[in-house]
Amino acid sequence: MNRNLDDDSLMARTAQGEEAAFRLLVQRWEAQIKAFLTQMLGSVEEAEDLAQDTFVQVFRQAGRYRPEGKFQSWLFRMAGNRARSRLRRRKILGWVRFQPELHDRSGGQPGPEEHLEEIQTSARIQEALHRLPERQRQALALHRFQGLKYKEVAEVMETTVPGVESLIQRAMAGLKIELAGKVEMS
Amino acid sequence: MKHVTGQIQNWLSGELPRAESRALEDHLESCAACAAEAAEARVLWESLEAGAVSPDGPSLWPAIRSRTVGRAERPAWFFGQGRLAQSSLAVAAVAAGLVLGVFFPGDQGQIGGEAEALDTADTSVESLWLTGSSWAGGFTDLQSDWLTAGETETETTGQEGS
Repeated sequence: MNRNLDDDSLMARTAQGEEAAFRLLVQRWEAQIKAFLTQMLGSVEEAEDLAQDTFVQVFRQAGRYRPEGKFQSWLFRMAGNRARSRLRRRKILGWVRFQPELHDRSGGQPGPEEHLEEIQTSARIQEALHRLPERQRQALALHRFQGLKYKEVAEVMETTVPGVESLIQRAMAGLKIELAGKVEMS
Repeated sequence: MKHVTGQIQNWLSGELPRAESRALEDHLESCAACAAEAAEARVLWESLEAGAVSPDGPSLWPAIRSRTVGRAERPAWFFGQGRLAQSSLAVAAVAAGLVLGVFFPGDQGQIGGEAEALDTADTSVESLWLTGSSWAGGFTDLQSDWLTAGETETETTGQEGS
């Protein structure tokens, strides 16, 4: 299997039942989808569950997929829809959970104090992100953390580019208030 | 040029066309208010990096495979492949449980019965061991002596108490 095949070609082959093509698609996108869902939900376990469901849906819908070069938007839209419906269900259950241990990113191996400070900062930012309205959080997660352009975010969220601009500006204004005095801003 | 605060976020996001971006940067050099706002916004934007998540853990592929392409490998006669087949299997399992429950209801006094059986078993083991050992006769004698002594003591105590 040629690893340079684009997503649309891989989808076409997946639709024909080629396991290697589907596997390559999953491997290409799973980290990003898991990270995005973790941002949205604040829980790795739930993010993994929903990422699995998302890829199962990709497989099932491969035959109906229209190759227009927008696989990324299509994939993130499916994942985003699942995250939103999970968040709605959580709201109904009145359950909100945040896992600060998720944000223990000790790649650079700082000293214990710096490490603790990093974890605290990361946790505060994540808490603030989780207090944002759902769509603002989604737009910010896709743009800031997954590197999607406004146009791509607009496709995923089925809105316009000015709509995305507005969501991100409001999200940043909200974070500024939430994080005032809590995160080192100098 | 008027203040550019409304465009600062788009500039940070890399979403401004090159010409607009250059004009904004020129403005920031001459406007202290906008420059301060841009600096603050940039710090917040960059601090968000600390909130990025990089979930580790094993690949999801094995789980996804078993729910998609791997399903075809499962023999149809074993579990069936549709929801209907799986539901039927569940109903059959419950029905089998009920039938077994009706025809083999078990012993109502099972717990007491077992306890009794254990006692009996213990006693019989002890008896067997004692019977087979050279202590058998001696134990019987000791037991009689002990019982006799107990009776005597009870009588004595009874007399003292009256």
